[in-house]
Amino acid sequence: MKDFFLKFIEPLLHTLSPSYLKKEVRSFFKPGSHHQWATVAIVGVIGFLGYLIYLATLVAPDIQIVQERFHNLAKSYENGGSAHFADRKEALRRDVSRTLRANKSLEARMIATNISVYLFPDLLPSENFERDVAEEQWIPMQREIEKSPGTYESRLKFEEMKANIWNYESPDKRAPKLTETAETVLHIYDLMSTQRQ
Amino acid sequence: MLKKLSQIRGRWFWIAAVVLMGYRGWYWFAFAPQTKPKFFSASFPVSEQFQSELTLLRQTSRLDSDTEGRILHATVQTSKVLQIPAGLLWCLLFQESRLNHRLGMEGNIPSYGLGQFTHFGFQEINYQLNRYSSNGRNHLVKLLGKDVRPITADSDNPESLSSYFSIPTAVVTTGLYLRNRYLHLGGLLDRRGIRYDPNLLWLYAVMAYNKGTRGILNFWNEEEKRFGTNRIRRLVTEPNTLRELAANRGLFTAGFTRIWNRTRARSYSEELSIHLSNIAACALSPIGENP
Repeated sequence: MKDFFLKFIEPLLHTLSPSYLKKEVRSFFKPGSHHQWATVAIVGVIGFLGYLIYLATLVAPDIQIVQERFHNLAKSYENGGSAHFADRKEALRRDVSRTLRANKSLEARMIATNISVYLFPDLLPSENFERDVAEEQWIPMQREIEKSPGTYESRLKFEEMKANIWNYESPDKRAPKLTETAETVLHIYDLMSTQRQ
Repeated sequence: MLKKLSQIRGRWFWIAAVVLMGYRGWYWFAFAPQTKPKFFSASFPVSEQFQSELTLLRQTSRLDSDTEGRILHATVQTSKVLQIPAGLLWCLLFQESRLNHRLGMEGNIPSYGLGQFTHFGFQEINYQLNRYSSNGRNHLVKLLGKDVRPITADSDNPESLSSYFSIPTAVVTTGLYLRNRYLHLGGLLDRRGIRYDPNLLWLYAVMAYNKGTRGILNFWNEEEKRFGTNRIRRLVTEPNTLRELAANRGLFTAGFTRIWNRTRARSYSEELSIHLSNIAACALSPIGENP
């Protein structure tokens, strides 16, 4: 048994022995050593992969796709339930985050900002006045609804969130109106607070 | 010798004191600072245009003296308890409904009464009154004698204290909702460490009452992005900066374009500037052009 383990350990001990390591280090600094080429190749491949990942984060999706994903959130809950909704919401969050960081058109950034106000306020800069309002007046209610959809408590939270959004946004008392983004978010959580999937 | 010197010193001391006091007296009479006019006028409406409109309402029997008196009484009481400038509250009611407390009682209009209250406004008063301050309910009880909630646009019992068509209820409810807008904006500025002039913040609260808090916050966000945080500081401390806003009907447009499309943003911006200049003309002291 002992011999069996020694068969594996011995080569390892040999590799880690000071004399072997010394020999390897010396060989590394020898001009044209195979170690040098291998190191350059590995560093090059890792660097290239890193650059590709960096480029991918800079490429923001088309804003129409972002909008489509946003409008499909309610459907994702209807068709796939809470888990599917959470996945789709996370994917939308990544898209919105990239759009906000990318050098996109003013309109695209406005759309992304408006979605952030109602769903992902943490993506907004800390000096944005809307961030604090969102984090107090609808994000906690959204979390509660997502935690226990289709319950009486979730319905109460939805009503509170709805009143907060209307009081915060409505610009015309005689012809009350909300932005499309706010209406879509209210539709999502209206559905979620009435239907358990 | 010493005794003589101390006598002279004492004499000089008294002479110097009398001269100094005389000089201070003369200086005070000659250069006393003129009493700074109060920001909000004690009598209202200030502008002649609104005074003549009020006279017309009385002459055409659209506003009887009893209703007018009850609105004024409720306004003064509410403003004392809620620490709102009385003229501002009265002018807001005048601007919203021309003091017609039964406005919206008939017909299919989504806003009601003196302060043109909406369904969601009632919801805040009925269920989230203490959201911005813990004493909202106490104020309501102090002013109306008891907790009359839920308050609704009850047209079947318009004189009931739970109906927004009742004058005291409408004035108190409007005051509480306006105060909530003030406390909300003030809290957000406090968190950013931005000092503000309470008088100016009341004007922003009136704007938020009319066009929603979101419009005001996006106006501030846009101004900060373009001109830096100092611009916000000036906007909430310098009356002249706000006066420019009331004069320029397009100044809110850039901020509002962050929320609505350009056409709608321009239209809301114009409406808000008109609203602000009307409130300013109605409630602010004209003395020394202190806006």
